[in-house]
Amino acid sequence: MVEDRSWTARTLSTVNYTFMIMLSLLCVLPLIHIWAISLSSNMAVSSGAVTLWPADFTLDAYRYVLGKPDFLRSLGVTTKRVLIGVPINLLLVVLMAYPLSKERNVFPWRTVYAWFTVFTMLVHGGLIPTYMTIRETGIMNSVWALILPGAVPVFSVVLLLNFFRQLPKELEEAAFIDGAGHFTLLFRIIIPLSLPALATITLFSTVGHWNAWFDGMIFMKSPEHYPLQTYLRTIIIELDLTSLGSEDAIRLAENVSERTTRAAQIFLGSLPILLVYPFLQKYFMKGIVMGSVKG
Amino acid sequence: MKLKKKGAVLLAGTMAMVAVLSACSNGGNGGGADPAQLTAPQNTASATNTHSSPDAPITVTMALSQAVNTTFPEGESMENNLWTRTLLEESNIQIKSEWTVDESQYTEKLNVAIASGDLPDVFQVSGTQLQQLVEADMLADLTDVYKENISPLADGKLREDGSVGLDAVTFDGKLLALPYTTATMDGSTMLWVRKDWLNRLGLPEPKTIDDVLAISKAFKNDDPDGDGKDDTVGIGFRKDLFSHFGGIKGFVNGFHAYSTWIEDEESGQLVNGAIQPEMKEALTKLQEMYKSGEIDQEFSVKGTTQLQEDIASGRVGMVFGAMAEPLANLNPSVLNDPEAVWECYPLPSVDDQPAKPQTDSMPPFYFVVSKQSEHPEAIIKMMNLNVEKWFGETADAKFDYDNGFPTHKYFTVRTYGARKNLDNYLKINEALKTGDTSGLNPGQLGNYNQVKQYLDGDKSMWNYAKIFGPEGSLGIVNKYVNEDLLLPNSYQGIPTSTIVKLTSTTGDITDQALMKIILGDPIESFDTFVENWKKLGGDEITAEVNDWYAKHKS
Repeated sequence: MVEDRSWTARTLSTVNYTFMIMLSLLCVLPLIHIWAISLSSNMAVSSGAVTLWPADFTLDAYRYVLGKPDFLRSLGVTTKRVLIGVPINLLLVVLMAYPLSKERNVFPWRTVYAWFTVFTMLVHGGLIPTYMTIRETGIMNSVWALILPGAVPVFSVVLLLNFFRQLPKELEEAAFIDGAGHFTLLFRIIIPLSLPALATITLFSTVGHWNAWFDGMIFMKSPEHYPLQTYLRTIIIELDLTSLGSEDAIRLAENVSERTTRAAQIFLGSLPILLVYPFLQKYFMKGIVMGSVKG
Repeated sequence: MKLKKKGAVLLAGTMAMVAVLSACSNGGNGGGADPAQLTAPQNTASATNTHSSPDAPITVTMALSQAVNTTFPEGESMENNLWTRTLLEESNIQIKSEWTVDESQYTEKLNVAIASGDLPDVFQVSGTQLQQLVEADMLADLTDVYKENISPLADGKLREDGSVGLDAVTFDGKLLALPYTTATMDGSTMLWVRKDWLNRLGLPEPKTIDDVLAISKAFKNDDPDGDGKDDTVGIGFRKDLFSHFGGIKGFVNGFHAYSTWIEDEESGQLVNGAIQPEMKEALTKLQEMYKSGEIDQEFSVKGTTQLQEDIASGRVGMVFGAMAEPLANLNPSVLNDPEAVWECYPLPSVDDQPAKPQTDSMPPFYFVVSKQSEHPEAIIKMMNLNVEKWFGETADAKFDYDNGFPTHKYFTVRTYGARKNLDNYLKINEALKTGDTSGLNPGQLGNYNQVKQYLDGDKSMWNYAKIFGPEGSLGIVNKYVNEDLLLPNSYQGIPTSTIVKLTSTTGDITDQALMKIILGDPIESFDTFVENWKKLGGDEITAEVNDWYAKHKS
């Protein structure tokens, strides 16, 4: 690629770069727009004067949001969910991927288990049965209803078991000869070697927990227990006023939340997860590429 | 061989750990709901109370819909607030939340609850959900408890719509729900115009559709804001064609075209207004206006927020809307530009017949009781108390707002009646003339004070004054009512499941076809659309609608 500087190659890379830059702009601009709105005055926003740079700069929206119990409470729920949910995800994924990565002569039922696992990726229980299961197990309205149903992310298991498989067999044999058992092998040798893959899985699982909103709406019995995204959805959704009574419409128009505060909450809500990316990014590419190629 | 065995051991170990883990998780749940309580909450809760002393409160489980921006004093919630405490004190009913959800997600969540058979005692439903529950026989018969318990005041409020709502929820002589009776007249559209632009260009006030077309042309071409730039449009529309604010409803009504069910004068049958020739005529005009740039070229992707922006930044000279538009939709314009003057006019007509604004005729939602409930009378008592606290002798402003908290949003089973805003308008203007405010109830007094502040020079109260004040938009609603101009949807039944199923298709093709024609499809494609509409379920719907009509016509 470096030595070949022909006309076609240069055109190709120009087109390529232009396309990629456009694509990144498509992703970034809405966020910048939201950021600009959150720092502008209501008046400037409602007259459409704000696009990518704040007009009539003010921090009012942030002051209001940070003093608002609902936002902080739901942020708390989500933080708790991530802190409990991600370690559980990781532990279960590792413990599941390790045996499934063994050869069939080592673990004879491997194929059966593997298919059983993959099957759950293809076929879901459906909303109503899931709801009833959660209800009957009695974890409704607790943080466990958000964590346990998705405790084993199968995609991550597949990713990790492929990563495990491409690790040199010799390491394993050497460890066994030196008297290591499976747990020693897994925790002292394989895991330290799999950090890129684990980082990737951590990222998937963190983002997944952070962004999930539907389960919060279905499994929580009151808005006080909503995770962040479920809460955010309640403030950004555009209510269809024609379906409400007109008196309610009047009341709503009186109280409708300002776009600036909505923008501030959306921005604050995505900030933590944005901050995670740079730290895990360097592992990310490596992890997903190596995990996906069977060695 | 040995390795094989080890693998098996490891597997067993893994399984055991998973089991332990999930067991821990279940145990860790602790304070959460226990399964027994979840399976049969209402039965256990109310059964214990039925046979105890008469003074013990009856417990009613409810699904609670929490309105946007509902705030509570510290420690309170939808389950425990001014309203629930009043209900306990005065009617001896203890409300228990089966679940509470934000109103934007209520329907979805209730659908899951209905499908899994997990119903609370008392809850709110949409027309579609009501039909499902009636067909599944899951609702309590309220006929007798209604007769025995309803207060004359509440009965009167529920019947203010001419009993349309109560009739619709009576299935085979059995009352299966309470309607949320509301002022459908408040949804009638009128024309909002920038009066300052009219004056600047020396144009007359709009009386006919021809006036509207002339004004629209002038607003587009003659630089009504005087900034020397071609940056204005004639009429502001948005992507939802039949919405109150920024819809084409008011415009097509001027052509005597409707999107509702109307009676055909010749046959006496109900027909769908959207497929009548009058609609074609109205669309032709809209298409012309779109071509000449009098309608925003991007209106088909604009929502409320974008139209609000365009209005606030002085790009829009006219917009069709309801009486409530000054509150949020027009106010930014007036705040932004002190010179902006918005005036409202009755719908202009295309000929010498006055235009009739179409309105809905059905309540937007209903309140029902599960068949399992032991206390079907509780819902009636809730309704009685709500009406009493808002409109009765003991009405108090604290049930509207209390220390800045929107207490009116705590009421779950409720009704405003069909004339509340209009009554307020009439009472307020009466009081403004006489100066005697003793006849006003707390809600009216609140609006009265806002109008008074505006008349005394506080321009920030413009939005309320433009609705309730002497020149308020409700004056136009009043005119509609007095001159009998409102045209309620003639189909006044709960949509049957066939209608619900087919309407999702016919509704889609209607929206798409009309939008495409406005955007430039040949006008002849309207006829193709009518054919399709009939073929894809329209004929079947019409037949069902007329079945209903034949039964209820008298």
